[in-house]
Amino acid sequence: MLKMLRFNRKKIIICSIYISFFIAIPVIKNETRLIEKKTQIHKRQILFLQKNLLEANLEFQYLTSPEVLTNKVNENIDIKYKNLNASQIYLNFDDFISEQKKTTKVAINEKQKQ
Amino acid sequence: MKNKSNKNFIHQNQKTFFFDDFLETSPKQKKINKSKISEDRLYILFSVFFSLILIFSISIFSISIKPSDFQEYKKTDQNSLFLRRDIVDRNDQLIASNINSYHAAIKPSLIKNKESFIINIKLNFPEISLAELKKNLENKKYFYLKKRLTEVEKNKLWSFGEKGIIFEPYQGRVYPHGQLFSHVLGQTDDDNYGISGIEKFFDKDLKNIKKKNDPLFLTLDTNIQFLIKTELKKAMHDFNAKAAGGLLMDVNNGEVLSLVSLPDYNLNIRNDISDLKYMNQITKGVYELGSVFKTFTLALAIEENILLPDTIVENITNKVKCSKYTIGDIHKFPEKLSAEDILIRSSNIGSLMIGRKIGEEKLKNFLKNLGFLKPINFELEEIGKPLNFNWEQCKLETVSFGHGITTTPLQAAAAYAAITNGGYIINPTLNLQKKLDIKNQKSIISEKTSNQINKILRKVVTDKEGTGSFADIFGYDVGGKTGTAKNYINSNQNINTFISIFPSKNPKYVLLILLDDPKAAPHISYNYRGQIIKNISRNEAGWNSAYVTGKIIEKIGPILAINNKEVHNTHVVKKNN
Repeated sequence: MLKMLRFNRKKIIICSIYISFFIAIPVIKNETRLIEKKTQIHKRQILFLQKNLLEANLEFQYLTSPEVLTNKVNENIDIKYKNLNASQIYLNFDDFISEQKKTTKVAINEKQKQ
Repeated sequence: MKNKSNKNFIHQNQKTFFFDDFLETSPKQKKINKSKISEDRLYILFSVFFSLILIFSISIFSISIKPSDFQEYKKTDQNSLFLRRDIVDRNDQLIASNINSYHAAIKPSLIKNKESFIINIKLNFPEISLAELKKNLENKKYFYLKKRLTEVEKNKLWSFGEKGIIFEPYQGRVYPHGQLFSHVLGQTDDDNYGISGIEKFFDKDLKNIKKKNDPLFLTLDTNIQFLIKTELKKAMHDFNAKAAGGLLMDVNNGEVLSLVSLPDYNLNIRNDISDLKYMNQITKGVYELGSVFKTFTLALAIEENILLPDTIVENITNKVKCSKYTIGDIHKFPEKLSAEDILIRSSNIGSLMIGRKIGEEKLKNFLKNLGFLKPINFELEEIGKPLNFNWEQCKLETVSFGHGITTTPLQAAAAYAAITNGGYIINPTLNLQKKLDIKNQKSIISEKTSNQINKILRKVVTDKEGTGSFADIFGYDVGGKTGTAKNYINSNQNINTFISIFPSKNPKYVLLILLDDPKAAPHISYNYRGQIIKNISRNEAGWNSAYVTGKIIEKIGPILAINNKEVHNTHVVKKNN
């Protein structure tokens, strides 16, 4: 009797595991599918944004190209730009200030002489 | 259980036995016999259900282990997004990119009212041939109405509401700077294969899936390219030149910062161009560049200790008879000139005499080592091949002052880079990732000779008798050599070149400016050492190519100076102190 019970218990356990797996797999699979669908939607959104970003970048590169900018400047601004000489280029603000001070001192000295 | 069941059949006190009909007396058997469903049927039913369960289990298992559609979607989508890599300049500015676009195709069988369709096309797309359209519609075969649609064109066609218009998606190449890099970048066909320029040379690399998120970096600088192009365009107008070319290259690593060839064309518009003036003047054009070759003759003579820069060359005549040819100079020069003066004043006879002292074999080997006798190795398909010539009578004499030898401007600029960078041969490149260590390069002349040549080139620009005065832009220490030569196809036309280096004390850049068939420009006011000169009817390189070089250096100098510590330290810091 005991033997039979044990045998049945084994069968029951195997069957219950099998059945639970049988139920669990589709449930998990369905959940996975739902997550995948969401990921797909997000992915599409990312791609859409990427595409927009690419187009915006392309537009930016076109609008800021030297030729377009020069035309815009000529159209809209009535200032004639002059080329800088090497002596007029300062790589930091301190250099610029010290050079300005030199000029100011010269101007003051000239005033004093007068 | 068994014992108990046996008790039913054999009694303990039983003395006799009999044969019982087992089949009839067994209760189980009786039950089965009485049952309406046969045992075979049960087995069949069991096997059917078992096989069904087995099939479902297997299918569930296989679905579970199968990669999801999402991954496949991801793969295909990425492929469709990046068929070709972007191309950017050295400052990361986009110069070529792919975009999604459409071709408009027609399925004639799906078009109900063909007449109204033709009228719509005629109104909205007048450039499409109606005769061809009618013919295609009658053929009833699938055909392309218009390739590479713009957004506006697509919307127009969409508004027709015709089922028969099929929008075929495709990826097109766009160039945001239009025609700025037309001779360098080249173009792609409708299937995204490179057909010219960089697009063709780096075709495999640009399609490499592994690198698709990384752009291809070129050595070019968009801003400098624009400035040089603008000045060249102006020069073409001012001097009424047929074509023009400009090349700016780093003398220490061969990186090409700008390569301009005019006239150019818009890369975003597909046209058949057959006119030769649209070829790449810098890499494909093969010219006799004239006096710029005198620098090589003098450099070799100094290197071979045949003479020093201040060695006096005597008996410089006005004309020299060589075989059946008479070689002469445009101007009359003194009979005695120092070696450096020969280059400064650009004397043909003086160079010829130096050439004779060097000898044919040495000059030939020197030019061969500088790479003048074969096509240059460069990352473009459009490369010119120098014309073959034999070292026969008078060849040494003419080659020593740059006649009778042809080359591409690119090769000439590379040779100037080698002569002025300390003597190291460098190969021009457009690929920023290609790093070159100058010290590992083959040396052609010593550093001492190179420094001496740099000083002489500076004098060509600063000396009173120098031919390149208009290139002397304050602060940039420009040196260079002019070259005025006759076009070998049409001797009435000039090819004027000026190859400059700056700063000449420690050269960083070589700038070559070429003008094809420039005319004198009396309307230009030249500023010659503080004096304004007008109504000039001269047409030598010093009056046009050197002048344009000066204008260009004036504009690109500040940009290069900011990026260049050497220029900054020499010219900006010293001045401030």
